[in-house]
Amino acid sequence: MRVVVADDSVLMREGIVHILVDAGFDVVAQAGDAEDLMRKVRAHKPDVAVVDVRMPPTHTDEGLKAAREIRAEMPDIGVLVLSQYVEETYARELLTDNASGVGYLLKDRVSDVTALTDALRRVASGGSALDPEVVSQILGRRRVDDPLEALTAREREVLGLVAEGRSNSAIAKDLVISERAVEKHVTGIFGKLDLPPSGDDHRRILAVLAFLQG
Amino acid sequence: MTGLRRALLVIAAAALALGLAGIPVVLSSNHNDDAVPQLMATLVIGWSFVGTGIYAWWRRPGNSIGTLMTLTGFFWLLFAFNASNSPGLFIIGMALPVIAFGFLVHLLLSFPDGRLSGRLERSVVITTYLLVTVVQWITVVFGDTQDPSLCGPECPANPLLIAGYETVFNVAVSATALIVVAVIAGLLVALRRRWKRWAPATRNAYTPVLWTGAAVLVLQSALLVADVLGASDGMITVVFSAVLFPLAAIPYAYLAGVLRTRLSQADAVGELITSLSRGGDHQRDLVEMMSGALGDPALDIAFWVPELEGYVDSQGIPVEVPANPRRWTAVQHDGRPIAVLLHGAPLEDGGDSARRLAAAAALNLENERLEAELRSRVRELRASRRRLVEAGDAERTRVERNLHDGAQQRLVALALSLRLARSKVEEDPARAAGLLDEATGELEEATRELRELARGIHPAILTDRGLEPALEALASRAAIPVYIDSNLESRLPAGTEAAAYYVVAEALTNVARHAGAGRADVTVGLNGGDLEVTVRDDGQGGADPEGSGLRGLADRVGAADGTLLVADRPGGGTEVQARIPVAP
Repeated sequence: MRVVVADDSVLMREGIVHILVDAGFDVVAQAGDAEDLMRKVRAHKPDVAVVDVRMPPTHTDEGLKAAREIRAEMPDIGVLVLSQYVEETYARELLTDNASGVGYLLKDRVSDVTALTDALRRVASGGSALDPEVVSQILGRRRVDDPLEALTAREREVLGLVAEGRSNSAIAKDLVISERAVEKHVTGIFGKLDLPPSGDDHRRILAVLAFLQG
Repeated sequence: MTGLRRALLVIAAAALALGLAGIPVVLSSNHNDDAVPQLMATLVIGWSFVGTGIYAWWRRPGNSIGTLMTLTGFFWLLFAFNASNSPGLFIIGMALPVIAFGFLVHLLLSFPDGRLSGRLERSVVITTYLLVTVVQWITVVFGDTQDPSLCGPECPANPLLIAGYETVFNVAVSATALIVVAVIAGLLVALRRRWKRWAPATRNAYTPVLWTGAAVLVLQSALLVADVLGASDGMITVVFSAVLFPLAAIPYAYLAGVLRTRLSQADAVGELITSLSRGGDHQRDLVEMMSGALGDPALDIAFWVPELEGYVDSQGIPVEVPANPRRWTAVQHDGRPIAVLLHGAPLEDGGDSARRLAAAAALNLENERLEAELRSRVRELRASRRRLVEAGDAERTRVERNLHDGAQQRLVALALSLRLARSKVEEDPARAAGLLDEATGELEEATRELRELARGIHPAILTDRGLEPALEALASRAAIPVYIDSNLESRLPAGTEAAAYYVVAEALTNVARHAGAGRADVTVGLNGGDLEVTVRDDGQGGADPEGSGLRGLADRVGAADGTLLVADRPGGGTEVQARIPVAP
């Protein structure tokens, strides 16, 4: 799989590149700011781009904007956005209407090679990846008449993994249960929350997030 | 007041009628020789007292001086009836009029404000009342009016007489004389004490009343003693006449006092106005002038500060208004409170003079008030500034402690794990691998903690995305459900956003810590040139605005030039609203 990595911190960038190469990815280019990123992506047309949220010149959200641009211009290229901060708002912006081929991970997650490569593969193949910590924050938000109270503990677990963008088989492997069991849970959840059942992983993540963020 | 006026007119008419009714009684008396001069004395004294009493009553309805004077006059008018030939009226005329002296003593001892103070005054008055009622009636019941020592054979018989108790009668009469002497002595002591407590202005006006009154009572007691000691009839008549003159003078001395007060007030006001327009411009001068004009050396002034809804002295330090309303007079201008005069001596005349002076000095007082308000504000600002700095220092200490106890410890542990792993990597790779996993775990924890700490110091999302997303982030981490409702369409200056964010953060912390609430709602919007932020909870309410949590909030809002309102919600819970002007 061909990857472009963009981060203004050389240390960080080199670190990510090292891990990816070690895991068998082909890092075709690196970039230090948003403009550079766009150039390299257009030139090399990778499978996925790994992008830091904060980059020059303003060090606020260049990465996010670049991600949207890439998705709009070259929908076949997946974008994994790395951020130092866990904020619902960024997740919402990133996944606005199309969660396909988009991911949002905490930078810390980079040190967990399995999680990183898993996310990359999902995003590259048109799925979605949302950092577990963002998901737990979204799920953990207190509500009056919490609709999630209707769910069992297991169902909450499954919901969390669905919100991360995992496929049923991935969930089954994670929870060490059968895929059929996962399907049953998912149907149950969507039923209790009164959500229309949706097939694709990246569409259902949107439905769930839309539901959770009210 | 028309109710009072009507009542007073009725009383006046009754006094007139009573006096007139005495005329035929006296003129037709068959046992009274100097009837006519006596009648004149009775009517003049009686009507003077009633007339002056009614005037004083009307002038100061709350002051009992008027009532006491009127009662003295009424009972005095009954004297005419001891010339009556009918036993019933006769005994009334013998028994009741002396009660007038009771009222007179009460009058003198509560002059001029109508209040008795102290045990001595009260005991003298009570004893006198007992004397002129109970003891007098003992003599009435046991006294043979037809005995020459009392009235004489031509007088009507005493219808209440219980005959045969001459000794009791004599004892009662002697006892009366003794008690009277004691009472008079007590009265003189009490009067002197009272007089010493008077302000100079009161003394100027009303000392004659005290003297004349005291003279009357001393002479009257001399009369009683003389009678007991067996003085001749002629002697008794002379002394009694001597009593009448000062007695008649009392009401007029009172009126003279009133007039004098009015004149000196007018003088004082005139003088004050001249001095003020001449331009003495320091608060000390104003207080000196007013205390001189009022004759009250201990006068002080406190000024109204609308922000504090209270009074402060000239240095801006809050002052409490005394509970006793006679120790202060409020001054207003254009319907707003300006100041309060704090009197050294309690007001004698219902505050008239004080109010007139205050009205004359109103503008000057307003100037002083503005200065005092300013100083008060400066004091508050200094205190607020100090609290803010202290809060900042406390926060820094907290951060330092968090770093020290948290992340720093973890990093140290991490270093140890790594060193140990390094030393084991050749001889026991499995163990080394385990240590490295541990190290990774510690590192992740440390990173997480640092991230949280940084967010607590200043959340990046506030800078990156603005107020609403930052508030949503607060809400998602809150321990209770928090709902954010914002109608902001664009970002605001960083300072304003930060102020609003921290206000909400601290308010939500307060709610979580104290309110016991089930939910909180935060509303954000622009109102005019201000950002309005409201935090409502449905907890137990009753928040104390002076408590450290809310005061810190008020300080922060104040530092942003905003205002903070805290109120209990009608259905329970608290509403905290901050208005922050949007920085240009």
